[in-house]
Amino acid sequence: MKTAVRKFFGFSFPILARILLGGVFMASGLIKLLEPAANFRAVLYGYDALPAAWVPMIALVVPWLEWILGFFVVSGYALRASSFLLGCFAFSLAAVIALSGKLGLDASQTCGCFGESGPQLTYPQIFFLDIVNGCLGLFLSRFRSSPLTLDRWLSCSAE
Amino acid sequence: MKRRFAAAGVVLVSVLVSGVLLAKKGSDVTVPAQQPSLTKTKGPAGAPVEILEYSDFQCPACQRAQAVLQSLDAKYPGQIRFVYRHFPLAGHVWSGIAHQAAECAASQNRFWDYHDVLFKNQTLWSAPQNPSDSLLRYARDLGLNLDAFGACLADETVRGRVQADKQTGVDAQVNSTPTFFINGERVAGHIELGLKGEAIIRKILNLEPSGGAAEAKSGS
Repeated sequence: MKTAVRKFFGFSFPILARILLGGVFMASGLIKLLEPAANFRAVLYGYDALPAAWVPMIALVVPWLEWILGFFVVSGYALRASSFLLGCFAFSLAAVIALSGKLGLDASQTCGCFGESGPQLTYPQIFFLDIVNGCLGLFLSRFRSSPLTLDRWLSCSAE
Repeated sequence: MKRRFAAAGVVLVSVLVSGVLLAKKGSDVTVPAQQPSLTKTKGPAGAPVEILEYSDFQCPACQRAQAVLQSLDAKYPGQIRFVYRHFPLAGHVWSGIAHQAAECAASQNRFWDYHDVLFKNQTLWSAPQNPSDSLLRYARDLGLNLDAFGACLADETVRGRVQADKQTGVDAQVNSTPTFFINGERVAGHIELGLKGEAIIRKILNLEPSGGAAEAKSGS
């Protein structure tokens, strides 16, 4: 039993965590990148928690970070650094939602984080997802080595 | 080993960036097609500036945008033609029926009056209870023909007209409200409208640039 649990947390769980954390950010980043940048700027302005002058720059940089770091986490490239960065980023998003006061809105208000055609998550739901992702990011950043990663493959093939 | 690692990173980033750029190139954003509607336009037909608005009556940001639009209209009288398109968001429970009611008001040539009433009373009819009674009361207060209005509210084709409006926005990758197209240039959200709207209009009218940020503050 102990061995099975250890195996799960040593092998399956890190892989599942990478797919969830990286996959969510990859999807979120790709949707934003393929849409007009004005759409994401509008979402950021709507939070009222960021200085208006920073919004155009944040709207330009964040989708690329989500897409690239998300892929790094899924593929296991620079896994400790990329999962730590995404974990911190997820906690920052949760903080922005909390600071904007949107957690108190009724359930009919959705965040639009995945576009109008994507899943319609309410602010408490996306806040919860960000907290989970933040924890996963910090969890993954603790491992020196993780199974089925580009990191491992690159270090093996270099030997 | 470090060099190999860095090279792998460069290759990954290059592939990821070029993949997105290629996908973006293949899905060029369209500007919504012209669909002249006499009942949901306001302002002179030959006005040099056209502001096309995709809006949701239950969206608080759309309500705030009205102040910015009114200030632009007051600042540039006779220069702007406003065009309205329905964009009821999936997450707003009563948007569908409110837009249908506005479309019914449009069929009695009172769209803009009804539009103003809906935004003015947004917090009242957006409450959890079904707003049908409120929507009928607004129609009665405006002196609309209530029989025709009631029949129109039950008409499926009217719902289809609302959805057809929304579809033109979806085709143009509108996914949040309010979204504006000022002579084809996309501006999303009431804050960006306040920050950039006037600058775009002045550019179209060949006027000297002036600070448009003041409008943003008045609208937010």
